[in-house]
Amino acid sequence: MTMKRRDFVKTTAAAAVASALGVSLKIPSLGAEVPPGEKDVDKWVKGTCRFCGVGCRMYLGVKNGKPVAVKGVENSKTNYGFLCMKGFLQYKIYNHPDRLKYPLLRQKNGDFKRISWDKAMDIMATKFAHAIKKYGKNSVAYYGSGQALTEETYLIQKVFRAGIGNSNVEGNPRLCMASAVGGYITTFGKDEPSGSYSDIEKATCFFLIGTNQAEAHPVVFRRVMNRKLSNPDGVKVIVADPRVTPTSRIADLHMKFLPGTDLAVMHAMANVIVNEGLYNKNFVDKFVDFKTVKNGKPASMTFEEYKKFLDDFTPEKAEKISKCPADQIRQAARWFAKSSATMSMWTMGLNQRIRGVWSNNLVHNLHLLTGQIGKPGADSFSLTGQPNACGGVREAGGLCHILPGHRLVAKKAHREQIAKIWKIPEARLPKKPGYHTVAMFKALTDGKIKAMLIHTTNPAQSLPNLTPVIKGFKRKDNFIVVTDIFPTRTTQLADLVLPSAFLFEKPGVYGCTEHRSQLTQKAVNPPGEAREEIHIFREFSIRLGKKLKDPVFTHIVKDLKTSEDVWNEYRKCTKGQDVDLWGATYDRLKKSPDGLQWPVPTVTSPGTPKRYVKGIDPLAKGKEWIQFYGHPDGRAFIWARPYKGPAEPPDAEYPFYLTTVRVIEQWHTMTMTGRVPELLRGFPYAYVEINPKDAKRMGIKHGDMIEIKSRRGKVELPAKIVDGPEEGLISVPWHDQNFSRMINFVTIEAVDPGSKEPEYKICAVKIRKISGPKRLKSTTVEMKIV
Amino acid sequence: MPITGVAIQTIPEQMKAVYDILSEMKDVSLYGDDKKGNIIAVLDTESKKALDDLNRKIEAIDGVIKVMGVYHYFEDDIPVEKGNPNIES
Repeated sequence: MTMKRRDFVKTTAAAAVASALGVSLKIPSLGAEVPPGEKDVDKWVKGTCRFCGVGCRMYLGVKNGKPVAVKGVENSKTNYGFLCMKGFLQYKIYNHPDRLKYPLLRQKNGDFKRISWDKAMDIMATKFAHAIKKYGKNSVAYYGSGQALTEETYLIQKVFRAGIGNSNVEGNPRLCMASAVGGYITTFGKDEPSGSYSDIEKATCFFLIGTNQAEAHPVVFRRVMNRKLSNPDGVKVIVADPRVTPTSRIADLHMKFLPGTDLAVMHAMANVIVNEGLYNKNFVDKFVDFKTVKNGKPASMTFEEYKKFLDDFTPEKAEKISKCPADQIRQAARWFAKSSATMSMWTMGLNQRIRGVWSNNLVHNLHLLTGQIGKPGADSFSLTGQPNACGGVREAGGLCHILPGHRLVAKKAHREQIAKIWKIPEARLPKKPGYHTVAMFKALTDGKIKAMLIHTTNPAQSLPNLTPVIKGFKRKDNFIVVTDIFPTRTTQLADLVLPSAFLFEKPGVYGCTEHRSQLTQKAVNPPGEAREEIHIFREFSIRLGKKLKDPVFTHIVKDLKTSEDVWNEYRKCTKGQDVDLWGATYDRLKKSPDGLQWPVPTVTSPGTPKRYVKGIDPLAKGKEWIQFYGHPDGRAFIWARPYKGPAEPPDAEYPFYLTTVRVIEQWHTMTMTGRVPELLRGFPYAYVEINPKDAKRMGIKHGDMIEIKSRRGKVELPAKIVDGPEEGLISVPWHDQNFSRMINFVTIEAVDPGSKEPEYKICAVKIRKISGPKRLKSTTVEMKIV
Repeated sequence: MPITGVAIQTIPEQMKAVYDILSEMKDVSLYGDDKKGNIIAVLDTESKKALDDLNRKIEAIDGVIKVMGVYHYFEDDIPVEKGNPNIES
């Protein structure tokens, strides 16, 4: 690179930062002096980051058909130009030499052999058709992902529901945000948050519970931190977490409690709010109903009855259960209620629990009691961990109990609406939900599922209690097809591997945490013979239909040739629903820096940054300023949920709590971020964080190798002695791909009875030192291809 | 030889001191600040590893909260090698 051009690129870089910060800089323009061929890129293509659920917008710079630069989209309301390191470095994935480039078929000796697409698709259709004919339609299943594009999830769930006729359509968001769905539905009657990230800049109190967003959602955390730093005395940050984390370090109040006892803590906060008269009586009278459960069914209760229910949760009683000091509970309740605008955020700490739905309800309770919702800066805002868990899976029918457009499989009226759009008889659609995730993989282990399609996810590493799950994969009487971009623990166990396109190698929509749908356009070609999944799924449907001699399979996909075709049909499914995307055409999404927030019912609608609020949300058509239209009377529910602890608390034999956590350098099962050397250097392998007091008591030193054993399995990890977890609690980042360090051999498969989300966050373990420090290497999964 | 535009977020009271330290650092060019604690910097390093090391060095400066990326140019970047880089402890 010439110096002149280098200076030009540096100036461009500085200008991009200045623009993101909203600063006008007097930088000399060098553009005119640089010959056209020496410009930094040929074109910038807009898209959304592939990793967490924040939905950061980014440009990929392309030159001579190859990616050469990345920059944030400075006028995007999701990230204002900022990207975290993972987002910045994802370009390393495009031309990575480990990319899967050709269809691969497992041979008898376990090796994989390259085959043609024609053969691959024929084998896939033959195996599924055989299973359906011999074992029935419920013997086949699809397991997808919050990383798949909306168009992909929508298309494949249609093939399963309208074609095959079962609802064995699941996705990994079951493992991360199903409890948030359950919480929103049971409280508001509608899924997903009401507010937006823009509330962060207006909030004066943050209640961050069960979220280490400094590591898991760094771009959101930057905004929270900026808000705090810009008004250190006027903005309060409450962090509720059993661990000290980079997030808790900015807290005005860090409430530590025993894992799984936060129901008691939040009820006690409500107790303080009610008994000190800090609740918003006017809001409660007008917009809230109180609910309990009697004889297994929801039942109404009065405010006085709710108040009496809270008598069991005085701060002192909650302290006994949770070890969270009563005075901290009082302080948190007062700040929460008295602030001009309180915003709560949470992630897996609340969701991955056997009472995850209830935990979500209790956060909503606090907002409804205090009226901290609907006004600028106030919201009960669940953060999502994957880029399209909301858009693709929650909204487009990617779970076993839902149909596209926030509809339910079990509701006849909803089935009829979808059948009409799909131009098929309603009777063709399944009437009952299929297997939820944990049940689906148990069915695989039990031999009930004979053919399975796994799309863009890695369940052979990410499911809890992996030993029986892997046995299911290894059965000889099933056939497993996996689409992915890299070898993973799941592709290793597949019978057929189909190479797929990555972000910017195909067009499509992601819907992020704040009910925002954003289009990523195609910028580069996928490597080798890797294909866009919608082409794979469409061809699968046509071929399966031929094998089964059923023309419906072709009928339902014949007009869906491009991702835009699929999106347009999906838009029809959302029309008139709360998740109304009718006005979000590809054309509008292409032009917008940051997509559109639903409901967006017309092509002129600006979108909805604040749901339920009259004048902002077009669906709020009544008289009141806020209308929780998920319930006919416009009222949301405050739930009196009983206290219940974790499924497996520590005992004499297994005396430690184990919690699984995340680190900033890695994402999920490291299949992508683990292949970026700069990220891998920051986190080459997992470790176990141990409190210094526990370490001293057990004679454990930093780096010693520790065996962690539960009732289900064990791993061996180096010790990191740190004031992170409280005494009696150990924490392990869950990303590592090495069999001896994969923590999901230890975790528990107990699920929330409502959301069916597993309790990854808590199980009982014992630990022992097995040796001094050992030299360890990072692990990247490979496949033997002959 | 990657070129990276970053916003270096500092504790506002310590921004000037951080600015002075950064101005002495090799491979760092400064382009001003937003008066709210964010410094505009461009990191021009020999390699991606050098960038990674520089990033960590900056984050270790007293008063620096976070280094957030905005622009990254990598046309001359060395391709990633196949398989496990075998990074050790």
